Amino acid sequence: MGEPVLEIKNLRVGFRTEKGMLEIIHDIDLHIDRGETLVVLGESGSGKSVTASTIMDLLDRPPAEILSGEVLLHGQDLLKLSDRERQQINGKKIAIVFQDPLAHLHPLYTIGRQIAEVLTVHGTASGSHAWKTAEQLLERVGIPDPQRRAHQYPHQFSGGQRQRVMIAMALATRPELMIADEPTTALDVTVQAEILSLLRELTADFGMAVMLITHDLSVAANMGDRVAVMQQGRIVETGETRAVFEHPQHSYTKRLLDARPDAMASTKEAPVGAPQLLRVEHLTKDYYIPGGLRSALTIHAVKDVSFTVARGETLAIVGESGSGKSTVARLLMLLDSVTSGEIFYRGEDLLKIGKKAQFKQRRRMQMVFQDPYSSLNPGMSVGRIISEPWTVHTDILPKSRRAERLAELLTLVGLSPDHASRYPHEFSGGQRQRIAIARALACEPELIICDEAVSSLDLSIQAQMIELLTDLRDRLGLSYLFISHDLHLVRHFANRVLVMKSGDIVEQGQTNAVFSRPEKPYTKQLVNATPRPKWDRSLALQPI
Amino acid sequence: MTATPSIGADSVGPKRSRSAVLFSMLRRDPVALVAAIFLTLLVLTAIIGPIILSQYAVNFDLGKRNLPPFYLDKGWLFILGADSLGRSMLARLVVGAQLSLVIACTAVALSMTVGVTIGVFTGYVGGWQSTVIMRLTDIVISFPGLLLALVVLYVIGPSTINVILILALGRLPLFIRTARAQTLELRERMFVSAARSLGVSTPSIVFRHIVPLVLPTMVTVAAVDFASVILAESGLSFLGLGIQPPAFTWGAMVAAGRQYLQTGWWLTFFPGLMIMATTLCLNLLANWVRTATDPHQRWRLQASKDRGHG
Repeated sequence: MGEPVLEIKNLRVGFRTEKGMLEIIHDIDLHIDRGETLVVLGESGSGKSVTASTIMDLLDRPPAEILSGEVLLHGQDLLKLSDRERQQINGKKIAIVFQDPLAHLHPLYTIGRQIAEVLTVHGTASGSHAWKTAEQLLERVGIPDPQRRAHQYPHQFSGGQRQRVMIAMALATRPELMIADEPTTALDVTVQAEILSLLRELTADFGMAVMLITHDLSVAANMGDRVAVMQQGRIVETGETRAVFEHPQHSYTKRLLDARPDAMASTKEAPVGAPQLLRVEHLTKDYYIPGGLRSALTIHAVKDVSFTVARGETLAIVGESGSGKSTVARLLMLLDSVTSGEIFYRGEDLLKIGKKAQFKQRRRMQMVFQDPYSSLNPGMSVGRIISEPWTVHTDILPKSRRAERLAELLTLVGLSPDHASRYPHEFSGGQRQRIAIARALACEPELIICDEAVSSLDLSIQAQMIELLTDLRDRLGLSYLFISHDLHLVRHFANRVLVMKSGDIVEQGQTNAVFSRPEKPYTKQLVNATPRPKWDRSLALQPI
Repeated sequence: MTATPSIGADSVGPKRSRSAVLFSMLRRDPVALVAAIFLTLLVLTAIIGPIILSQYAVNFDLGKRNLPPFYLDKGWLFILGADSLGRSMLARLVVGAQLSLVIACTAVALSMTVGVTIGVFTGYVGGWQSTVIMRLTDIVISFPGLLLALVVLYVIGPSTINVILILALGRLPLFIRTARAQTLELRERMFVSAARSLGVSTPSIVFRHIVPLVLPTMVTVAAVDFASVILAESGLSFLGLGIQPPAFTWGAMVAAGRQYLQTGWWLTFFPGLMIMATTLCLNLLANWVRTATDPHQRWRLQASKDRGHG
């Protein structure tokens, strides 16, 4: 491929804390060649974003401090440059695309103006010429009708389009290196597929070097020429992507690859002839938005949805954002009012029985929420959080047994009994989700609804959580309603799957059948949108 | 930490009572400790002092008119000087403390209790009732507080109770608004949904999940508010609609000393100093309370051996 555009040599970065200097990047070396895509792969806290910030000089110094090393752009050490010299390089020779485009676009300026500004600042173009270039760039990144859209504001663009705009801004000065920091993490799979193919096309056209930072193995396999695997501030393995994926050398890389849902053992068959637990019929939810002077708006969030869950079964609901899958969960938990339809639990219509009976049934169905950071009250100790169900449903346990049961539950979800006196902020995301599961289990439920319960967790933690859920299912005979956007995960965890799109059920059936022989075009699109390794030319998914 | 878990145990160390834990956390913050000592002494003085000194606070002696402070030749009672009628400043500060503190504490406590209740209710439940309450709050805010107090006190007559009520009413919107804003934010958090899906009743959610998280902020607001209430009360006394003589407060002392500012600075300085010191100490202590009640911040106040890994 040729000479390196960027080289990092012996870089060490530390943060000054109360306890002294904490080194978070330990002596890393890497290089990116012209026209090459280097994927930096790692979980949260691995130091991949700090590395990117160091290259872009975005670190807050202090508390951060560069302890040693060089960052060479064509042999010129960026760390030794003055602020003014840096400004000539940032945005012009090196551009960055962030995860959250909305946070990096100014809400009060039009898109055209923001792109044109990049050009004027770097003296590439000015006035109407800059505006023209901005329109061309928008067209290049696939925004339809660029003349009109250039006059619009960020909030008038969808998430995927905003990311395209960010890419247009990054391309404006034809940089030699583009850093993309988790560019597709916040996007739906089908949109992700489009953005990734756009990125690939542009790197080929512009001959840029790309440093793509991601935690997603399939994105890495799909995009990378080479991959550098980071763990706790070190690059543990680097090499050609295919070689690393097929013959990982380092134990951490092996563990990461083993944590892929694809690599996990497939779940056992759905129980045959098990009694039906939950039956939902014609469930519908409309949101009514009063329009003031304009006519009012009705949003059909869930339209005529019917399904059943049997005892010991795992039913997955998959869909992209706005498909209504989370609304279904909230309706089942009676957190929102149902517009029409019926929810039968063990043959009883939850919406018709009285408040008292509803309260009694409630604990049979529990929910684990998406965001482990907001689903636990920060002011309560873990012990109080988990034992709250017992103060509400006093019939579950006599007071004398509670301390013992609390210790049991904590052990069951893989925590230790002495965690009871600690507070949520002392735990990591995965541990918090374990606490949330323990709280759900305290109700002694039969069905647990997991609403994107593992989506925000790192891959290896995700694998541990799935293992825990599987173990609990087998041991306690639980049923799950598993709501997720992650097809990989669902494919290996669920017995049956239900695909939703804008409030409708598109397709449902046995997981294997739906994934290997999708019938509806939308399901096909969804299945094919999952990024596939570069070296895998076959169009169909591999059989499980 | 010991291995025996106890349900609902908030204390970090094993086998230590809550008050012992609080005291050890207070010792870790010297500034808050000084503030707490000052306030304790002040309260004790306000309770015991008037029994001994009330006579000296009203005995006037024209021979000692506007006696300057820091001279011991007229006796230790006159170390802080005397006022325009020759009464001991020290005795008057001690006696005035009682009524000042009673009025300010009652008014602040009253508006905080009512304000938090209404604020949390309107924030959590919503509905047309809360809209009505919020618009009423807007009216109270947009009406000049002093003018409202003047009109009401003129009509119903000035008495200690009425002054307390009118001061509490004037400060109410602040508490309602702050409590409501915080409740609106907390209500949307997932742990409230989680509690609802457990079947927790609305009152329990409010008292167990919302109020404990709203209160620390409210204590801080109340501490800041304390000074405003003392000053507002002195304004009312100055206009003759507040506390009626012969009863008096620090605020009334500042107001009475105003006309001697050029000749007898100590008439306003000492009561003013007391108001400031009290408010400052309350603020410092409120700051400590907020830190001590927040599990995320609490480690700052705990000895390193007590600390979790946070």
